[in-house]
Amino acid sequence: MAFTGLYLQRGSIIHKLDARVKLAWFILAFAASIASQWDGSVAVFIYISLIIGLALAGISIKRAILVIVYSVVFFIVTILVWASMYQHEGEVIVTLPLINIKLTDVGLLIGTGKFFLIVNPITAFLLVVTTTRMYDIQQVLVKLGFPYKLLFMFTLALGLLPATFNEIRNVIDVQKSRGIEVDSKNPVKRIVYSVSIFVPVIIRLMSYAWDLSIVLYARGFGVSKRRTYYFTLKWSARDTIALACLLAVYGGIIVAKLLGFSTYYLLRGLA
Amino acid sequence: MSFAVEVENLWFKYVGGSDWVLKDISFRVREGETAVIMGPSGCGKTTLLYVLAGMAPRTIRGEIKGRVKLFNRDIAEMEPSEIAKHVGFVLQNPEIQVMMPSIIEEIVFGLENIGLSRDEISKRVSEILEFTGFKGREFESPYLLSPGEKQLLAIASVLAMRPRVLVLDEPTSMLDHLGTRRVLDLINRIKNEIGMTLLIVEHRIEWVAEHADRVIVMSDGVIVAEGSPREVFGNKDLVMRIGIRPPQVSEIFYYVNEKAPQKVREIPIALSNGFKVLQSLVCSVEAVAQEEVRSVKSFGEVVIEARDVWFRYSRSQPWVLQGVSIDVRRGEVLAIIGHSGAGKTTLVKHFNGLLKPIRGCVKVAGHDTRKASTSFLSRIVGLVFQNPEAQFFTSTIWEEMSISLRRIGLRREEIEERVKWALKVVDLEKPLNMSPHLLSFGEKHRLAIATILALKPAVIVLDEPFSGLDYKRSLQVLTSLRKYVDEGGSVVLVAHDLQLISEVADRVAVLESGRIVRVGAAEEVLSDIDWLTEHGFTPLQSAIIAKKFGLPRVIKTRDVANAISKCIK
Repeated sequence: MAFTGLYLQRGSIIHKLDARVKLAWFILAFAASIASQWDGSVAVFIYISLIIGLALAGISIKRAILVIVYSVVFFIVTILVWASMYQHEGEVIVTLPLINIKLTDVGLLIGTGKFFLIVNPITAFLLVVTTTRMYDIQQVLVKLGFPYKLLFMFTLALGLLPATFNEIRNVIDVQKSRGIEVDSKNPVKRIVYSVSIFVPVIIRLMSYAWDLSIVLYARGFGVSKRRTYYFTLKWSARDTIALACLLAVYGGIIVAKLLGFSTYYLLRGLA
Repeated sequence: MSFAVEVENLWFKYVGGSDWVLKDISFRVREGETAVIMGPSGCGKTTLLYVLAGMAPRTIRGEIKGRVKLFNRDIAEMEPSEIAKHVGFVLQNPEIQVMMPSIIEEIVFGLENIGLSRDEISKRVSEILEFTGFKGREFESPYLLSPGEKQLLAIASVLAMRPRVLVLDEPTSMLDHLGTRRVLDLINRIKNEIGMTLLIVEHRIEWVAEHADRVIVMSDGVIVAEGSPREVFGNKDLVMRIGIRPPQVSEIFYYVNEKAPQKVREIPIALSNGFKVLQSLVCSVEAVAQEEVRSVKSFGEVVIEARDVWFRYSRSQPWVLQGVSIDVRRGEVLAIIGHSGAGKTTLVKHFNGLLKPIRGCVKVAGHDTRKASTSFLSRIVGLVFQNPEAQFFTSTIWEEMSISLRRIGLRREEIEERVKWALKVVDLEKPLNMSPHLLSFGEKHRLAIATILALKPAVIVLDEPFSGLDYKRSLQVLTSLRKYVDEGGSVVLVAHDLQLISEVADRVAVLESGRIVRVGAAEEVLSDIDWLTEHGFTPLQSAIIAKKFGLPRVIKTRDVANAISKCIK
């Protein structure tokens, strides 16, 4: 059972950055994604910057790319929805057969912008939680006025994720050993037998929760109003430089967007 | 000396529960004393600890009557922060108690919660790292520790809070031999060097006999006996009636007393003393040695054949199994023993195709597991996992039992017959329309075995079947398994408890770092005291006594007692 959330221990430059810088990174990437939600060509650069961040952190960028791969259905739907709404604006790139929707450059820019509006914050969140100890994140947020207990519950929920996956794997093994075809090729059977996985998993998680409440009580969780943070956050010159770079990149995007910059107009040579 | 804990006429029942779980409990524990609470599963031991730690009825809701005092102060009038400073609580499952990304953060967590200054935390952390042997390993990840080390860390984290009373709920029940030894060594040091008051629910009876100042025996929510280990284990009637496990040396005296013309009044509880008393009873050691009886067993055809099996979970991870070769024959009970991480569970998951060997092969009744589905193999090899809660998903025992039987196309009459038979084998008499979730842990365990038995597999594999079961219920499971083998089945048992293994196993295989380092008749392996000690196992007291009396290959308490009884002066 881990309260480490999704943190992956490495000695990278990104790991060494102060938690405040990484939280600022998340907020700035989120804000820049909102600002560029109508312009996919800018939003994709935010995504690339986050991928570079993950690569520098020594975290397999496969995870970030997998977000895109797994969300391919969501990507297609997003593009189709926005393409259909903007099929009469801009240059037609292609007319989609069967559904007869015209995919225009405007529709594509907006569709991809909306897609990255969802994907970028998820990737930025992954970047923060995989490279920052929950302890440091909590400390920053407590200083910002968030209640500790609430933050701890959030950490707990993140910590339960790996435990839940482990438990699902165990239960699948148990049921397969009883001859229950939880991995049947028949989708109807799979749905029917999914009950045999979820009921025991929920029961096991409730049992975890019970044990956890006892462990936390035994460690004095919540018994004192005052809580000490033994490890303190230390701001260094590296953090100042990193924050300046982030402000320059994402702040630049936000400002440019606020000032009306648009790839569409740039491509068309319009001011 | 003053009292650390005073319990007066304590009653407790959980919210929504109709029955009192604790009924009129009264006892006192002196400061610095080590009190061990024993009793069958579900007798209220853990609930009692919850009350003593101030958890019930504060966070674990329920109705309470009576009084609990900690160092002469009523616990009901104490603030949770005060109780946290007085009482430390350690649970049985080490996995759930390790939460932080590094050893130091784990220790610091409790100290931060109670709001100590950084200087004070620093001082305590340094002390506790030194005391528990974690110094120099502060920044290691606790997840890479063995279960035993995790439990040591859990104890260290609680100790750092400097409680005056340490409450431990079966701290070794989920550990292997090495882990158990390390945890019990630490508890001994806490007792001897710190002089802390200890309240422990513990089943490692040899340790209890040697180190407990007092034993409190509970049954069905009441205290049925209280006294020194000698007083409690010397009372054969009580031990048998409640079903607690006596030290093997005491058990030998129970049997010897049945036949000896002059009964041994003060039954020894420690090995050294026990051997001396036994020596004084018999004519000569040589005479005992001549009483040895060997049984030669023969088994049927090979059902599972593993040849040079190599397995790892991913390319980036080390090999878990390294060239394992072993057979399981019809009509035998094979026990697989080994320390945590030796690869025992990984090996048995190959027996029904849940895992496929990367190199080598496993054949089940002639079928190569790489080419057969688990669904098919599950009809030949039934695997019962450690935790029965990971299995049940229907609302009645009948549904739970019949779902797999319907799948293999049995008619209703056949299903009914098999369900009845399997429940009889595991000795579980409950209404078939009862929810499996309402059963006790031991009953759930037996139901889990019954669901597999009903499939009538040729081999039944049980992974840690005694975990969470008390002695009496473990013996019930053993009896069920013996019945199954007598009816032509085979059993593979993965377990740590050598005494229970000695009662049922025909052969024992020892797995170490993914390799089988020894395999042989149970009598041969379990009587090799030096080899077992060298490989980190705690040998059986019965085998040690047998060896001293020149009885090679005798491991069961009853057999040792029988041989000795025949030579009594």
